[in-house]
Amino acid sequence: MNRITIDPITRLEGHGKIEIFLNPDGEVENAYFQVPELRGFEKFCEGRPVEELPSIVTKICGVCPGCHHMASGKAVDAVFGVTPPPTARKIRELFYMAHFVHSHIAHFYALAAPDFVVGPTADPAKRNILGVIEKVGLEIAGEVIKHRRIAQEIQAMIGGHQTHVIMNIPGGVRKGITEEQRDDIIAKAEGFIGFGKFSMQLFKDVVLGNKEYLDIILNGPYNLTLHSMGLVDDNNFVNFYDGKVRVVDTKGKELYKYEPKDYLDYVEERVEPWTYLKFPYLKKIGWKGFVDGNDSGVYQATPLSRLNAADGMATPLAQQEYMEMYKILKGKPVHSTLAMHWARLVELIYAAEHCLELAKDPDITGTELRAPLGPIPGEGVGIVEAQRGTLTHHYMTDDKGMVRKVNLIVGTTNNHAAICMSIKKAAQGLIKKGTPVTEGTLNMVEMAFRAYDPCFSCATHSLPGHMKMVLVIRDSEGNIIDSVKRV
Amino acid sequence: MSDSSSGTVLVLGLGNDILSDDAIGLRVLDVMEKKFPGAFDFKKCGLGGMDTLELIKGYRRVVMIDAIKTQDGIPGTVYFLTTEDFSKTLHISTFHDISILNALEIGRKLGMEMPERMDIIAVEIVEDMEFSERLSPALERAFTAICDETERWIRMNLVTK
Repeated sequence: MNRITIDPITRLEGHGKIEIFLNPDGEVENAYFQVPELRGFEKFCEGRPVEELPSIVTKICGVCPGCHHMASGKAVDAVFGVTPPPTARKIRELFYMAHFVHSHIAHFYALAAPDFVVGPTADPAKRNILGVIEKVGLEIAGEVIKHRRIAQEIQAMIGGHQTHVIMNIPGGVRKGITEEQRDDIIAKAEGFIGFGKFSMQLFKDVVLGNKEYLDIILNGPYNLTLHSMGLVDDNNFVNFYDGKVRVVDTKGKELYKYEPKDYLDYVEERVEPWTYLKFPYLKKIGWKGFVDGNDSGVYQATPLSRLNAADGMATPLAQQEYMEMYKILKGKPVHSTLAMHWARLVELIYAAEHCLELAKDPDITGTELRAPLGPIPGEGVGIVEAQRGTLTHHYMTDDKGMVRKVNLIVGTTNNHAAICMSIKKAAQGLIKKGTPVTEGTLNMVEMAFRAYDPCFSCATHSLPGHMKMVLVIRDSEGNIIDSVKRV
Repeated sequence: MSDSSSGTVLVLGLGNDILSDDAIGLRVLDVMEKKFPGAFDFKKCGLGGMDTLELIKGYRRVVMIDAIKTQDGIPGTVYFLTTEDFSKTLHISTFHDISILNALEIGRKLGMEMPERMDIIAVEIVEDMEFSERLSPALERAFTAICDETERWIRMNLVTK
């Protein structure tokens, strides 16, 4: 069997490898996406006081520490059977909106924009954030750095540290927000809204205004018809911090809406022999393989899935953009993988608006920061929406609150099957017999999974020894007939 | 964000302190801070890219201490490198974010005060995929020698305050 290898993948947190297998006719037969997984976190947690976990989990991942901190804080609340008072809950949510703002800005400008602003098949030396800056100008680059930094400052102010967050304690938060801090956050959040609107306009001008790019989004080999998952509030609007998990089918019909504590009734994980990473799927439908369609058990949990699974956005500007996106994409749900970039910008505006709402909320400077703890039920589940998907923390403790067992389903893991399928579909659409495989082709295969903002093995960052992108094409006897290297 | 403009030389330890050998930069930094109290600014960081940009701005010179994995590398080997040594590879090192080299270039383009020189003290590691607060046995055995070598380099290359 012929074989193409892309290893390692660029612009992906952690190290990954794509292997594409060709049939004797030279067409793509299968594609495998492999990543090394960090090991032993569950064991690392066993025997520790459960209230230590919210601070420890921020070190699982250098990209979404705030998400793990929030899911963990909620799981610990559940272990102690306690609900934080309104001020504490709103402070947590305010922190979380800033976390979304900084992450979504980074993804759009550093990861998505190079493909669209510079071009999907442009010179790889230019297809990065520096190339984006060259195109859009230094002034905008300064704004990107500024707003990302400001979002980090809010997180540091509320969370105690921008990365190694320590704010959540069982039943609440460690410290409150002063009137002076509130005024500071209000000014910063107003800036986020302006920058969110600007970013959306840039997307509309550069991407939607370009017939070729719009065609890639709508008709390129990037569509996958899967069920959508996301947290929703009581009105079925998108909520990043709390609510019920809602799953809609490929046509938008509600399949399930469940409390976080019941997640094991709805989600099951499958193990495949070729990767350590598991494949979650909808338990009641069952695993039907790496197939899309309404009968498949595979689901997506992405920014686009969140929008698909909800009935709308809870803030006015985001709602306006939500409506416009579905109008232009001709209905809901949308199954274009690349529309995740658009959905991410709708979410950026929502996070900015909600940040401002929370900062103006009279409760935010309240002094009741923690609810009294009750007896220890010994088991708790916390679910939030991480930037890259629904994040579940499930802890079991003894009667003194010492950890016995931990189970996590992280954002990207939800999408593992979908990512593999997206890569295969893109490869099948782009790699054809008799057509040379160029670096640009490779990048367009990569675009299929980059849209997910995937994050694997992300706590590790050791300097690379020989990291480069290699594509090797072998004939049916295993001889190399062509190769492309990206250094 | 800390105000880094007061110092001229920053020694920056990079790593995750619960991920086995990935913590080596942080562990060595702790020892160097005791060996050179007050001589330089010492900071720790678990991230790359734009976060590093905020940490290094304003410094004349930055020395990073980090873990490295090279093909057939011997655990505990200490490499003394500059950013030029990584000009062809570091750009894809960590990415939900941008690379340190890109961050430096962006900082310069934006007129931020970026270090004139960046050195990287990189320690060859064994294990950075398993959660643990302990170094691998090979690195634990080599730890004193790693620190001695790092200390020697600092004495020869950095002018203390």
